[in-house]
Amino acid sequence: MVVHPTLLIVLPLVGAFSVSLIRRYGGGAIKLYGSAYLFLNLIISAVLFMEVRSGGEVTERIAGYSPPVGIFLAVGAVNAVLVLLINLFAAFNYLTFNPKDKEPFHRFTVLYLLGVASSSGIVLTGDLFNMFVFFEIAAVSSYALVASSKDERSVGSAIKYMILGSVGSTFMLISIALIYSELRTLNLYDIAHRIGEMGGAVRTAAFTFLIVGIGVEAEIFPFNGWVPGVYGRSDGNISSFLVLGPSKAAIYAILRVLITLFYGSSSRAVMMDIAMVLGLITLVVGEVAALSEKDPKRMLAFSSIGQMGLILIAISLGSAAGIVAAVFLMVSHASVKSALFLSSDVYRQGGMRYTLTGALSVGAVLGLVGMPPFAGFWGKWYLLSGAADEGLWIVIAAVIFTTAVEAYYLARFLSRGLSMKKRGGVKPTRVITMTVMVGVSLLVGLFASVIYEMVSAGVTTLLSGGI
Amino acid sequence: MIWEAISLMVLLALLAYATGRLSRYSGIFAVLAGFVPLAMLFDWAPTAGLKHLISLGFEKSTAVNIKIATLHFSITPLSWLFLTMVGGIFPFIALYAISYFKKAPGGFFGSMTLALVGATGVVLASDLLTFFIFWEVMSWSAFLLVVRGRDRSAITSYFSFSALSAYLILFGIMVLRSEAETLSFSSLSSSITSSRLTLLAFISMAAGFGVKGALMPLHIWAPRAYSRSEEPFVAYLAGGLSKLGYYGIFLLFYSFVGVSVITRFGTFRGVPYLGYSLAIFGALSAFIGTVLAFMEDDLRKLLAYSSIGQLGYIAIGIGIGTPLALSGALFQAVNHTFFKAVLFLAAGSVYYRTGRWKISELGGVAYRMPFTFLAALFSIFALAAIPITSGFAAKWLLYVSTVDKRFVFLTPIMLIAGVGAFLYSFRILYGVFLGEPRYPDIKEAPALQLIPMWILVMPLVIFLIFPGKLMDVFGEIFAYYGLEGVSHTDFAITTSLSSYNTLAVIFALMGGLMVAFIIYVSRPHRVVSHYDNYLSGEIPEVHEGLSLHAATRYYKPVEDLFQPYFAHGAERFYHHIEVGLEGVGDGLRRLFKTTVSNMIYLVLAGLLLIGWWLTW
Repeated sequence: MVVHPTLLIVLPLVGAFSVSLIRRYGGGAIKLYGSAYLFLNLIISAVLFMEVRSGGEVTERIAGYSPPVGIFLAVGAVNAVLVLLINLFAAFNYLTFNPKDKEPFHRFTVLYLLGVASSSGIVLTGDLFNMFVFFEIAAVSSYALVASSKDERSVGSAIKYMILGSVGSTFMLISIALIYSELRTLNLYDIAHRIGEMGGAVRTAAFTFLIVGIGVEAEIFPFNGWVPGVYGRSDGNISSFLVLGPSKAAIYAILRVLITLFYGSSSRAVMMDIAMVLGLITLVVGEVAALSEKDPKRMLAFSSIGQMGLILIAISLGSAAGIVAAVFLMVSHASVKSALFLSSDVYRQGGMRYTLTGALSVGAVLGLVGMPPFAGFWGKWYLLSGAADEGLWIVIAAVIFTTAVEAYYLARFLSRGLSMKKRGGVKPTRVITMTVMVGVSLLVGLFASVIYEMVSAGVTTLLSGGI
Repeated sequence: MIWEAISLMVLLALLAYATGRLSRYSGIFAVLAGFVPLAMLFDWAPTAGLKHLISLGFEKSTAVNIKIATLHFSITPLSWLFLTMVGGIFPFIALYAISYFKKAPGGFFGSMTLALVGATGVVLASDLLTFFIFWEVMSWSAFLLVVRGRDRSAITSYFSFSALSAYLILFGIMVLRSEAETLSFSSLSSSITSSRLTLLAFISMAAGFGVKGALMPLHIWAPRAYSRSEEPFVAYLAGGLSKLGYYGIFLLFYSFVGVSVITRFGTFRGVPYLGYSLAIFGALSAFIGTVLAFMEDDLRKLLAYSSIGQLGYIAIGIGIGTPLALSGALFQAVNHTFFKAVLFLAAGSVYYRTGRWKISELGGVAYRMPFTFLAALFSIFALAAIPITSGFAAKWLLYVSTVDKRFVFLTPIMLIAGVGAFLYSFRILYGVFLGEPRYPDIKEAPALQLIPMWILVMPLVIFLIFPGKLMDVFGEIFAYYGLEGVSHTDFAITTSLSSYNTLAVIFALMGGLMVAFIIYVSRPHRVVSHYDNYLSGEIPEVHEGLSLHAATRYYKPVEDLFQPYFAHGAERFYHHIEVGLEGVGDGLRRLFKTTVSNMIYLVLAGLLLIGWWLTW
């Protein structure tokens, strides 16, 4: 083990707590300081990724207590990809913030670093309660980040988000309490293999509360009332952070719950069905609502909901193809949707005619719709072939329908942005970040085998209740 | 070698992108890329000839492992023929484009080259995944070019229709893949059964390909995209890329699903129902496209509707599916590729010199641009299927095949559409090129525009004299798919009903022209003004604003007849769908606009439902 996964959580936390020490050196210095931690995190997650790629899973016990008593971090194929993704985009996304807009910038940096640390934590942890704690940190930092946006109405949206988020975390906590009272363990893998010992009614309640609780964060309909308001009123770069960090972590947590936590449960098939129906509803509701939405940011928000539904469908297939599809879709969504959110501010300023932002937005739209060779294509290909293998034609029909709808409103978004006469002023950092995001989507699609081989090697252990 | 060639084209595309903002001569990279498919065509030419002198070493089939999947390519007689269409016209269009742009065109040449890469990959693909990947590359690179037009309705309709088409095709691929457990073209049809799912897959794929082939009622993106994009691209889109839709449909019938399975869904006078319905849609396209074309004043839209009409004939031929009809369809495809490309390029040249698209504002261009006019004239002859041109051979084959099957619906519709094609062709000829000379100061199109146009006219001339040469290629295709051939020589095609000999027709026509010429010189004649011409010699009372130009509402009575029925019926249909969906979306959005307490009730309702389902 070259690097400790713990560092990914500890480093941003250290950064967050020490950033106020340098606040008198001004915004520039704080930004440099914050980015140093984030890029260090990026390097560590890249090393971790390479390690998992070559040697399988990496685990680390915290404070020397061995599981199931102690907390431990478990990095398998899927979360290695995800943690790299989150840290990569989070680091570049941080560059787009202007210290002058976010006075006092050190407080903002604290929130951002906490958000990154907790998102990584949700993805890495092997402990249910630990996951809950990270969820809370991620949620709290998200509320505050949303409220820091230029649009004053964002405070109202943040409060809505906070209320719904607390309902969600209460449900999560109830579920964890139920599981702990029955099994006396909080280790994910331990629960996975002992879930059968739980009483049927308690297990049902635990699953329901947990899926609803995480569903609030993972933008699953009907638990996602906060989404359009929050994305619609936040700054583009804050929305993009929410897309690439907390929401990806949350949908990954759902994968953990569905695939790992309830692995040994006798009613798992029904649970998967429920998840699939939720995913289908979320997909159709999100995309159709986006079609009628005229405001670009809210439209992207509804589109996000749809994409999350798509990822949930992929997860709920419960097969190797489904997991591979989910990973590609997560990569695709985190990269191109964040890029589109970054472009949405420019859009509001008055168009992106003949700009690099315009070109990158076109690329992002192609990626989002799932055109080869972008990452989204492989996501949809494996999703559809996984669904076809199980004869789920309704899923395929829904995906075809929503893709056409999605293409329509995204093209409308693009054509409006591109046909406006005025050019929006774009900061070079934003263009760089968007280039990285769209570039990653393209490269992952072109060299899809890197992720495909890694995930399909790790998927057997994942599907048998392991890491 | 195939893979290397495709990589080379991608590299050239990137070079074209990189240099696109510097100069319009970045188009050289696109022209060079265009020569790659030409080299392939040359190397794989089915008939002997130069081929034995040099071999460029393109293998007949190859598999490329890209780790996540293996891409298969192979060349069949059919893909060779379609490569001549999508690849053969490309370098000349690119050459034309260099002259067409007055400034550096940015990403134009890069995207054009990528479209060529996509199209080449589609025709060479021999498994469904490869086919689909390149199909999408072709679709979105064309989208990048449509985006350059910056017209909202063109961008949105093109993109949503091509995404719909892509996923309809993908649905079909998924069904076939799960039924046959293979993606390879050669082994697909042997393991497909005639289940209801296959039928669904067939319809969905046919619709998907129909979108690209601008088949009614899936065509509405076409007039918008054609009329709002840059001319060289439109020439390639209409001439080259639209054929890929019919390539897909052809493969769907003969390779993906297979005729034996299709026949099992029922037949009508020996023609499968599925094929017959395709032919009906084709006939509708031919008819409605033609009617819309002669009511149109915008030259580009006119050509767009004309494309829809002409492509409809290909659908008729493939749908009927007899060797005769297939020959007609393929003949029409080859012809349409060249004449429509030339027409769009000629229209582009006219615009280049006059800056006008409206036929009512054009006129008399031919006196200043005679070479452009002649190229356009020849293409129009082919389009209107005037005897001796290759267009006639194509339409004749189609007529004979429908008459042969006694299709009382298809034959008259095709005939009416044929007359309609003549009507709108006349408007292009008279309204744009002849008539009142309104542009006395313009110059002939630049040589760099004329040369590509004339090169593209050449195949029309060759197939005019030697239709049999093309029929030889079709013969190889039929042999490959186990169909009977059509008996022919180099000059003549013989069918059970009649035979068509180009030499005889040419001599008859020559004789007729000679007679006409003799009468013309032997009798006194005078030059009539354009106004007399239009009014058949009558002198009307002069009305304010009466245009005596053949281009203005020339077919008013016919237009008034058709207008109520054809006023964009399909567009209205899609508009209703859009409005309906937006209504549903508005309702759904209301759920997200309620108070927080309502949202919490919603969460609780979800919770209870999930719990109820689990315990139920």
